[in-house]
Amino acid sequence: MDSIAQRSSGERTPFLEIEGLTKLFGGVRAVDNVDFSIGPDEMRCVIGPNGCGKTTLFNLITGYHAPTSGSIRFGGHDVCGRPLHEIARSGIVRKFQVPSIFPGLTVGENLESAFFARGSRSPDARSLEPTRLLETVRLSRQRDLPAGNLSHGQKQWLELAMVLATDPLLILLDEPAAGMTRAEKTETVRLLDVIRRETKVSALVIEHDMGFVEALGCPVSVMMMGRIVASGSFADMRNNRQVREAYLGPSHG
Amino acid sequence: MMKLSSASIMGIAALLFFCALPAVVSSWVAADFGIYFVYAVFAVSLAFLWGHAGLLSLGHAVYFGIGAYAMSVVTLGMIPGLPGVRSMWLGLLAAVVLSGCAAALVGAFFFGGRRPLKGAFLGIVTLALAVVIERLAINSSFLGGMNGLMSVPPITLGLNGDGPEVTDTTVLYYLMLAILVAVILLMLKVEGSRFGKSLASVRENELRAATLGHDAARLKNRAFTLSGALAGLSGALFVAQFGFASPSLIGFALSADVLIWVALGGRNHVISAALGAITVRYLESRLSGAIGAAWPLFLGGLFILSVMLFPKGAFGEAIAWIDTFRKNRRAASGSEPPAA
Repeated sequence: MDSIAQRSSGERTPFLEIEGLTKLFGGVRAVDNVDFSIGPDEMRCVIGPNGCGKTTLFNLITGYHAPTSGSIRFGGHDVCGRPLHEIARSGIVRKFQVPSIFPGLTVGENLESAFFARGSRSPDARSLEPTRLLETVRLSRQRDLPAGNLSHGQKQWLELAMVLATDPLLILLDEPAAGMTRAEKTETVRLLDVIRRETKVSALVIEHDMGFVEALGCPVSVMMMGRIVASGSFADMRNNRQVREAYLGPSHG
Repeated sequence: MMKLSSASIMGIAALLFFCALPAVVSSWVAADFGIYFVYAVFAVSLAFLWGHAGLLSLGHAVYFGIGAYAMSVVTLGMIPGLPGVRSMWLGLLAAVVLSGCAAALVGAFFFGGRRPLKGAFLGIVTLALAVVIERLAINSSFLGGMNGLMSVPPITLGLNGDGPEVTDTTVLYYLMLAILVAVILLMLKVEGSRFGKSLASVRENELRAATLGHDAARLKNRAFTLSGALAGLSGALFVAQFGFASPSLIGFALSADVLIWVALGGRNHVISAALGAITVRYLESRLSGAIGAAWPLFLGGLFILSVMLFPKGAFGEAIAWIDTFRKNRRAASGSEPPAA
C-alpha cells in the first residue's frame, strides 16, 4: 500500500477543544453542555441512540450550525461562526452520513475537486493526488464513470477519499459504514486502519454498528440526550451499567 | 492518441460548415450570420453560467445591453467631458469592463452574505433586475430614451474611430466566426481549469464543495462576472454591426430569447448553446416571413416540446447520441474493458 502522506509532527499540536458547547433547537437541547477534546493522532468513536445529538455535534464543529453557547477551538483558534469553507481549510473535514459526492461528475473529477479545495495548505503533498487515493479506496477502474453510478458502498469510499484529498488534520466520519454489507464494513475498517497508520490524521467517528466500533479499537464516548455520559475503552463502555441500560437496553442482559 | 469529446467533434463539423457557407449564400444572408455569431457568443456566456455553474440568470440581457450601450456611447463620441474620443477599441474595453463590473456587483449582492440566492429565487431576482434596468434605459435621456442611440459607427480599426471601416459582409462574417470560435475555445479552457472544475462541483453539491474547503460564493461570483463580461462583449459586437442600441437590448425580451436559444440548443455544452442561438435566429428570419406573427407562438411551442422531450436541447441530445454511439462501438471492438 502506498503511503498517503508523511507529515512533520510539528504542525499537529494543539488540537480540537470543545467547552460548554450547547445547541438549542427551540426548547430541545440537542447538544447540552458538552466538554470534549481530541488530541493529535487520536481516534475516538462517539456512540449513542438516534437523536442523542451526535450529528448536531458534527454540524457545530464544521460550522453548519452556530452554537447557542460554548466554544470550539481548533489549533488554538476559535472556529465558531466562521464560514464552512474556512473551517474545512483549517483542516477539519467531514464525511456525511448519506454519501455526499458530486453525482454528475466522474469519480476522478470528484477527487480532483477535493484536491483543489484544500487551498494553500501542503501544496506539495504529491502523495495525496487523486490517482494514489483512488488506488487506496480501490476505485481506479471506475475513474471515468459518473460518481452517481457507483454502488452505495463505493460512494462511501469515494467520499472518504475526497475527504483525505483535502489533506485534513481532523476527519469527522458520520456513520462511515452505514448501509454497507458485512464485507464492505470489513473493507472500511481496513481502509481506516491504513489511512490512520499512514496519514496520522485524527478522527472522530460516529457509529451505530457495535461490531464496527469494536473493530476500530479506539476509545469510545457515549452520548445521550445531548450529553456525553461516559468515555473509555470499548470494553469498559460495554460493561458500564449506565451505558448498557440506557443505550444497549435491558434486553442485552 | 488524443481523444476528442463528442461536443468537440460536433463543433469542428459545424466550423467546417460555417467556413464553407459564404460560398453558397448571398452576401445578404452572410451579413445576417455575422450577427447570429454574435448572438452565439451571448448564448455561450449564458450556457457557461447556467449549464456549467448551475446559476440560472433570467435577466442576462442586462449585461449584453450594458455592453451595447457602452460601445455606442464611446464610438459616438458621447463620453462626458471627452468629446474627441470615439475609439472602437476603447468601446470594446468599456463594454467588457462595465458589464463585468455590473455582474460582479450583482454577484456579490446575490451570492455573498449568509443566505445566498439559489435556484428559482435567483432566477426571479435576476428577471426583476432586467425589468428595472430596462425602465432605467427607457427613462435615460442620455441614452436616448425609448429611441435608443442611433447611427452607431461600424467596426473601425483605427485607434480613435478613424482608419479603415470593416463593412464588407464576408469579412465581417469571418471576423465574427473567428471571435465566436476564440470565445468557445476560451470557455472550454476555463471549464477545464481548476476554477472551472471547482465550479462544476459547486453546481453538483454546494454543501459538499463548501465543506471540502471551496469558497462557493467567490467561485459563483467569479463565474457571474466572467459571464457578464462575455455578454457585454457580444453586446458591443452586436451594436457595431446593427447600428443602433435600444432599450429592447437590455431588458426582458432579449433575456427570454437567449434563454430559449440556450435551452433549445443545449445548455450543458457551450458549443450546443452557440449552435442553438444560430439555428433559432436563422429559422426566425426564414419562417417569420412565411408564418409572420405566428413565429413567437411557434417558438414557444417548440420550447415547451423541447423541454419535455429533449431536456438536453437539440444539439445537446445529438452530442449525447454521438457519445453513446462511440461508446458502443468501442465496447463492440473490445478495445476497452467494460468498467465494473
